[in-house]
Amino acid sequence: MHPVTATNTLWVFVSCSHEPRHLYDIIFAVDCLRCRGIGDAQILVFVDHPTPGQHLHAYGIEAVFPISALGAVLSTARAHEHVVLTVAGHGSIVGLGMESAPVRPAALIRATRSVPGIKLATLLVTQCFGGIFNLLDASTKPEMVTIGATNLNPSASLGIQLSKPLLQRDGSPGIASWSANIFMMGFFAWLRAPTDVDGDGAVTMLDAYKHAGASSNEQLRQAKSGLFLHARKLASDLEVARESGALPFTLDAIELKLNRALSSLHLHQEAWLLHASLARRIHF
Amino acid sequence: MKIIHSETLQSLPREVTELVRDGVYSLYTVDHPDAAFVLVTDRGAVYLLTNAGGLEPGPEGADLKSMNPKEAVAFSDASPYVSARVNVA
Repeated sequence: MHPVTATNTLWVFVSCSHEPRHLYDIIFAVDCLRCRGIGDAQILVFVDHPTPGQHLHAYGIEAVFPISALGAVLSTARAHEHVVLTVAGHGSIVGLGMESAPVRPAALIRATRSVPGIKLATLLVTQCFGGIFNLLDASTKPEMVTIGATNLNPSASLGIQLSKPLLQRDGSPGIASWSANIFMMGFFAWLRAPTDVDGDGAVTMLDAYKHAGASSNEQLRQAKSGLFLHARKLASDLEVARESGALPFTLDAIELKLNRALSSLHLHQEAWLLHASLARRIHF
Repeated sequence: MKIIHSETLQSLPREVTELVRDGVYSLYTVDHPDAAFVLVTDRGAVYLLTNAGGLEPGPEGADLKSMNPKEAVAFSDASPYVSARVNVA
């Protein structure tokens, strides 16, 4: 059995994206970790955003590095038994980041396994085309569980509203509404108060996977009826805006919203997990 | 992070406001003689905005860092198009 404690696990986030919504996903996840008593020394963030500090520092997230430093920082990190690395942001059919110079799955896995003292790892890939991280060697020591939000398809982000804003470092209210990666949100929302989803008497990584997969699919299914009507309205708005000579600035925004609504409307997401026998031994 | 009500930027088109709230577009305060905010689209296009969210002519092809963005800005009010409500109590 591998218990996850407040001190034995290193929580790593990697995001290739210039959009703040992917940083908001990380802010939410870190808030959930803090609710579990996990300290900031156990949290590392790697991004390629041009101004991550303006978003993350207000929430007390200080250990922020460029993605290019991932291998060097992880291989010299403080020793931890367990590493949970979450991929947020954008994914492509060849890895993370720019298709011209992507972070490939094998390189990310090598970097994860290089953390000093590591006995096992969990890789949570929530980005588009997460399935390219599947079917890789999971049983070489240190063994690794990989959980994907989706297989060889885009992943789902939907407009969410928190019941109360996340607090900033100075205690003032912060973000409460954004287009969130709903699988990642489901995983970390489960982590706030872990439950035995499958009733086997243990609260394990498998329960986190089952909760995140089922809850995100249910949210997507419920959202689709509204998205259909919303897309129709946006198509009509776009036509009116074109005819009225609206600025390209406005037209671009309507077209982007329409494309995002259509993409979500036709999106199919199915979660997957590699190395279930190890996931069953990771207890919360 | 600066949190404001979206109606503060009353001149900003509704769809642009929603993309800022979604976290697809970025909004920052900026120290500029003619502008209060800088907006960045998902494609990296940069626009200067007045206090009310009106478009100010700015240098074409400018990148965000050259604008010296100060605080990131987000909205306090809820989106009219929420798909999921998440309890964080």
